[in-house]
Amino acid sequence: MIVELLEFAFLLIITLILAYGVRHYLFTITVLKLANKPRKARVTENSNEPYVSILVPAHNEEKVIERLLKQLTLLTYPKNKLHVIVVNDASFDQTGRIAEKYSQVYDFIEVLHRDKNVGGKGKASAMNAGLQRAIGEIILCFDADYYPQKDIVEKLVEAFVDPKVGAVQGRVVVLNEPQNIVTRLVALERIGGYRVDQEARDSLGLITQFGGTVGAFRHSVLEKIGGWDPSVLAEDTDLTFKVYLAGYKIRYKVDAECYEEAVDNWRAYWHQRVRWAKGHMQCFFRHCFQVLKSSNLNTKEKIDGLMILSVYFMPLLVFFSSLISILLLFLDVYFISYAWFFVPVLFYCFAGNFAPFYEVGIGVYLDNRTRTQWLIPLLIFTFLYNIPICMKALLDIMFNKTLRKKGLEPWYKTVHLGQGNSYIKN
Amino acid sequence: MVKLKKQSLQSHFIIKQRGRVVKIIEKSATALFLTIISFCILAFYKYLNLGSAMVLLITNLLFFSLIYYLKSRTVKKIALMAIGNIAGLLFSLFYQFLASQFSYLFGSSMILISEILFPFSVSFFAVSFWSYGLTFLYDGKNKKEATT
Repeated sequence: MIVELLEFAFLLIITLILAYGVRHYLFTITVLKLANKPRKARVTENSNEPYVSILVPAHNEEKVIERLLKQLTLLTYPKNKLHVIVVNDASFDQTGRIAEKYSQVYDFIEVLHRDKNVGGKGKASAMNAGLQRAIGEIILCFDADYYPQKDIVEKLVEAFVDPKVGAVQGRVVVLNEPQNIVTRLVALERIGGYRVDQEARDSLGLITQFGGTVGAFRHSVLEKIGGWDPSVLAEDTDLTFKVYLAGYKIRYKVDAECYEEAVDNWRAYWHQRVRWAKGHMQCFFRHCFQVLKSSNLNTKEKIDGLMILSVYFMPLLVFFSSLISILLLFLDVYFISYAWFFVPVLFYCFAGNFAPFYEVGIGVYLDNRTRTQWLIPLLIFTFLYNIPICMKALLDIMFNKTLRKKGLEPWYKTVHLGQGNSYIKN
Repeated sequence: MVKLKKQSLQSHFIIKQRGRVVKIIEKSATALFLTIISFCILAFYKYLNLGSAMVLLITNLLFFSLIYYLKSRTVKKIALMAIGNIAGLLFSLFYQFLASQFSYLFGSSMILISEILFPFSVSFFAVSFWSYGLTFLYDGKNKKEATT
């Protein structure tokens, strides 16, 4: 009986993993085909130049905020149609002063100071405060450690010509990639996600994810869905599904690049990923049935949506399926000698930030980086590291659910030092 | 004038002939590499087991379907795959040889350990080969650079 149960569980998990493998394979092929097609030239003289509000939530970002503000002053978008709101959210360093210095010189920059009584309650809360002040038709979000291209606003705003588009996501590229092995591996994960995954999803008409930053929203849509939810850790995934469930689409612009400072040590990586995993799992429990029932989503969007929502369960499933397969090997189950071989291949397929090695490899190839892909085999370590990360996240969620803990999530922020970057000089 | 025309016609003919020869050589080489790959799969089946041969076949199909779209000559892609197959075969045989030596020295429990570790090490080999192999398929132009 136990053996039969194990066999059933094993086959079920393998089917699920195979589905993910096939999905990523299709993504990779789609992007490869797209790369061979000539790209449409961007409309340079865009008549669609709506009023844009840029929200920059900042909590103790003195080391990086100036770099972003400096770059924002260089944006090519007409300044009379631009409004930058820096939300200085209960910072106790020089963030407010630096932002204030810029707002005194540039009319289109405004600083919203929130003291510790009102602020310090998380990024979502800070974003909502900024949203109340925003008057733009389009709302853009940038994290303080980001470094946008000068024409990023034009690129992001372009897609809003279509009234069905509720949001647009740009590409995130790691700024401090050469710093050390952690930043290099994070950069590989980002390439898999943003160069292949997101572009393929956009092209196939699936669920394009809003990544929390380097994104633009239609103000009316954001108001309609109630802005950012401060009780969710992955407010980006939450917003993604809210936008789709409200009947709008999210587009992805691979050429709208913005450079971010990635975590540079395993400890920071752990904290960041636990937060992401917990947030994603929260969203799974929140949106899973809504996605299934929604009349605004078609079948392929529903399937993709469920796969996105459950992606942080995958490292656990792959891990358990490997354990079961070893157990079945000991029990001498007849099919396992063949099936066994598929487990590690699939196990490895999910190395990195849930992008299989072939997807990351093709992403790197399409970026024409000749040596970066040599580190792909090392993604197995980040994947192994993700197993306890996801385990902790799941246990935390279950623990909180059992104790019925509710309330606002505080700022779990990654420390940005403004060090080392491969693209710009400070 | 007539002499010049004759010369240009001759050079055109030579280029065309040379192109045909190159095509024939490329096709022959592709056929040879495909034969090597087939032999490798058969060797996996004969010297290892059916499971390993199946994995090799799937890996070959996966790799080929992906590199098919890359901007490089087909013969280069097939050659790379043939090298990968030969290296994979040698790696697997060497692994089996080591496993048998270890089991001879440290007892039969080593057989089980090596059996569990084998698929992992083969996967690691395949992924490493894939990532290094991509280097040879670049056209070397348009390296990604930030546009700030």
